[in-house]
Amino acid sequence: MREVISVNRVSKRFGMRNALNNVTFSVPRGVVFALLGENGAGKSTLIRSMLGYVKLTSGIISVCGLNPLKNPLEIRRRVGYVSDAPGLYEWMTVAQAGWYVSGFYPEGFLKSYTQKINEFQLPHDSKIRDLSKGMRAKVALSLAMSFDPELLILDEPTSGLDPLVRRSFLESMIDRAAAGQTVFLSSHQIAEVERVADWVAILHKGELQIVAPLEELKSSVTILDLSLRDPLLALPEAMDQMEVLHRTQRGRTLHMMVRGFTPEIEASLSQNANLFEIKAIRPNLEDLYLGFTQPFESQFSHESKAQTSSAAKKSEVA
Amino acid sequence: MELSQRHHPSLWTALIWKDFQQVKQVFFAVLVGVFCVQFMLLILGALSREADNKSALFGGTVTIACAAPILLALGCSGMLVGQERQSGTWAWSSSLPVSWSQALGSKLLVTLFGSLAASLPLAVIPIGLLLARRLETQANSVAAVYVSWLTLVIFLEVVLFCFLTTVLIRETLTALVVAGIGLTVVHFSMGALVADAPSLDGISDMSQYRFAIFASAILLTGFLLMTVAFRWRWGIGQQATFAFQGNSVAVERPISAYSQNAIGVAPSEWWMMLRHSFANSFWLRLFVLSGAFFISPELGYQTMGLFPVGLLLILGILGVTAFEGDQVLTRYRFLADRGVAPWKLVVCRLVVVSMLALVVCVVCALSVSRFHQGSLFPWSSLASLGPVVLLIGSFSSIVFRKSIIAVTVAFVIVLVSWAVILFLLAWIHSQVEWLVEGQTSLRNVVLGFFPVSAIAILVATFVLSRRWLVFDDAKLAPHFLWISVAALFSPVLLACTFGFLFVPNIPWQEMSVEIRTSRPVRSQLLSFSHPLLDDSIDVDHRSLRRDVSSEINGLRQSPDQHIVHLIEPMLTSLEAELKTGNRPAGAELQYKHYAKSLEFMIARTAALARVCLDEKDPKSALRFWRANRELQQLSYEFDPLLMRASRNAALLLLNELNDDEVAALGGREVFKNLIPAAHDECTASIRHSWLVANINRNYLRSTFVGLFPPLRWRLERQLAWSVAQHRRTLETKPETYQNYLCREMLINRYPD
Repeated sequence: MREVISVNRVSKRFGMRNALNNVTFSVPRGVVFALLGENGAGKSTLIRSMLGYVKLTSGIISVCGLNPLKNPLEIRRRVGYVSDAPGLYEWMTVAQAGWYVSGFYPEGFLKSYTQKINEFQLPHDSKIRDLSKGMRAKVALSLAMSFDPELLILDEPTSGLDPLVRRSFLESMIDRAAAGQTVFLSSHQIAEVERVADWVAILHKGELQIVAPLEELKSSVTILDLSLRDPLLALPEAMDQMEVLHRTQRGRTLHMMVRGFTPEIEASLSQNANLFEIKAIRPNLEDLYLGFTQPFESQFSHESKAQTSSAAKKSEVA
Repeated sequence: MELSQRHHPSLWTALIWKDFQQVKQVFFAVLVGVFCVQFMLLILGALSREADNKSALFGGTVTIACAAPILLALGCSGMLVGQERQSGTWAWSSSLPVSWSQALGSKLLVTLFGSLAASLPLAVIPIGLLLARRLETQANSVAAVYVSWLTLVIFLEVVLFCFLTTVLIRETLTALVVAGIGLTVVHFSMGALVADAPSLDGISDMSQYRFAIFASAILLTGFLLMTVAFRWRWGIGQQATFAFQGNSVAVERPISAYSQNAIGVAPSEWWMMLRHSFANSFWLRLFVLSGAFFISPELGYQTMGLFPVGLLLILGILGVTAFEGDQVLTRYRFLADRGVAPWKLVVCRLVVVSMLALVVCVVCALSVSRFHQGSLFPWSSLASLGPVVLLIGSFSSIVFRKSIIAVTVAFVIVLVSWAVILFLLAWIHSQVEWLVEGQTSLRNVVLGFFPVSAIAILVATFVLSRRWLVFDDAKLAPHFLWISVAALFSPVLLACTFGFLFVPNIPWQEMSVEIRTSRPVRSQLLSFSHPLLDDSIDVDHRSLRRDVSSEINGLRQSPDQHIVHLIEPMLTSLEAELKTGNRPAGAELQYKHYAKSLEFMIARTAALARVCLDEKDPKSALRFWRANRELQQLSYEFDPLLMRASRNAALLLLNELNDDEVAALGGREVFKNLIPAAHDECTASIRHSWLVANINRNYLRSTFVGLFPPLRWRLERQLAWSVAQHRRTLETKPETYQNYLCREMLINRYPD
């Protein structure tokens, strides 16, 4: 079985609101998979569905070959999960927390946990309540990773961590993936995710915008800045050969994020008299994220034009 | 030990360890609190001389031991389920490979076995009392079994329904209050079902059957509902939480645009804070108030004794709602960051809570007055204690961030302090037991000083609220402990220190007349001991005092007629005692039971004399009459007015002798000799009261009271005041008391 996670046409409704709408993707084994999306996009609902907490309205999810709703316990034995605010017992010490959790996993947990908290330089005898937010996150990560899970699901795992630890933690994710384990993480730290993620999925208002290997995505998408002589003239026909993911227009400048930008199209555009400058650049992950989550501003620009003209008319009447 | 070298725990070991660690503070608090109360009751029972009080106090050790597991069940459900859900550890735990059944099983095991284990040390004192035969065993085994089952059923119901409500409702305290209201209503219904039984001693089989069916149905329903709810909640983690609005920042609603327009102008800070205070813990208060309104009429009708306890419990919970929810870091930072003045916050919170408490008290007063018109409900005690309990609740809610801990600590503090105060009062009373009025007065003074405690707690709340709002890590718990203890014990200290100001000052020298007249008698009294009668004959003391003839009939109808055979040894013993009895210390004169015993003997010897005459034994009858005369003479050394009823009864019996019986006794001269000599009863009574007061005054100085002059002054004033009152009464109403007229009748029967 190649996929660790398989999400097939998953929808989830909370009352009148669609939290997830027909989401389909799969996560291959041995990769770092990043799920991106704005607040309320449905990331946490999707993660909780993978762990069997949420009953789906429709669709099927398979995690490690298991149905989360039917085998939640087995999934929790094989999957390490860290939420954005792990509710650790505040009265426990760091050592006690490890000893307590070791009861639910096979032998060897304690040794691995000790190693991890030493790496994170966590004091063994400090109570959780006395730790900073970042240190608590380190304890939660140590607990989730100490049983060497087949899949690690991390919901905002680096919030509260200082940059040094964040970098070292993310690099350890690459090592895990290299060792054949899978890491599924959702994060807002796009720049850092970009460094470690092999695959990226972008969720927007419950709908999956894109899912692809990061490098492939970056290479297939191009950001075009076109300088137009006359913005009222029609664009060249070569533009129709590309998939426009995002477009904004400011005066004579047309900013576009497109897929399928080939040298042939570039040559065709360069011969168009209306275009006096064409800039084509490879996007980073943040550009991709913004491109997939921001609305088409071309519509807004029309609306703003209309508003401006109506306001001008009113002022003339006055 | 190095962490990696520790043994690898099993799943059950880890779960049970974690659950026990969570509730061990609750166990400790309840165990210490209940054990202290048990110990106090034991000491009070040992000090008490009244048989009824002794029995009630010793029985209280069993009652409170039965209540302990129920308190533990409340605490365990609050901590193991409610607190876990409120603090977010529930979500994390449910992400571990632990099934719902394992999680529930561990929690139930800790609750059930923990409560059982905690009951064992609490059973030590009752078992000790049982072995020492100081505890009245329940005569009716059916009722005992019923009470035992009822306790067990209540315990299991509390466990199941509190688990259920805490699983469903996010706010722990609200959940426990809802469970409490539900269970109380269910038990009133259960009481109605078994109500055809005339009393606990006579429960019919049908009632037991109904009780068993009803209890089983409740427990089964509770178990099923709780299991389903727990499984569902464990399966979905922390999501879909059912919470009542008004308890957290997250669910606070902004004022709608409509209301802003309707107000028109910006509301004042006071108005907003009052409105916020009113909305704080709104649902919890609503449940508490509705519970009080619905349950109080039933409680007032059925069990008057529980009513004050229930009212104080409601006031305490209302007190905790004053700052409930604000203890959360985000909430108080929210207030502090907006520059809320601590004193304004405290004023607003306390004003709202006090108004609600007033409403509850008015409703309860109406409920009580409806069923118990003119009853002796302790309103004065509640009026002084109520504000203190309310303020301790609010004070603990400002100090402890977990509401369930705030409630538990507040009630343990109040319970233990109540027991200690009672113990102190009883101990002082036992040392100066002759001053019944004095003891009552001291209790009233203590109650009078409770407003001082309320002011102290109020000031402490204002002072600590500044620290609470200004500092993130304000450690207030140590302050809570000493301030609460000081506030609760200050009334006793103040009453002992300034109590003498509340007693009229009558100079001791005014008693000098009585001192001179009584000095010769005093030496005699100090060496006096009453004769002890053989108590093998069961005689009704009360009937002897009131009506000797009924006792005579009783003795006559004695089935084995053993009275006749016992007369000679009784007489010999009595005469010997009267001549040379045992001589106890003079201070023992103060004890009323000596006087009662003498009164009892006067009536009894007369009754036995009458029986001997009926049995044609005039010699023994004569000896009894002579003993009776001597006893009557002795009564003048005590307070003769206290024994006038039995003396009159005895002399009436003597007057009823016909001439033949008088002749059988030895004739008129012998009869005249049987009539006690004339005495001035009022003077004797005043003299005795002063004498006892003087002996007690000397005795006081040899006890602990002598070490604390203000208390000694109060008691000496009390002694002087009681003698003065006694004298004034006798001087103003002599005709009421000098009713020793029977003697005149006897003397006039055979004039010289």
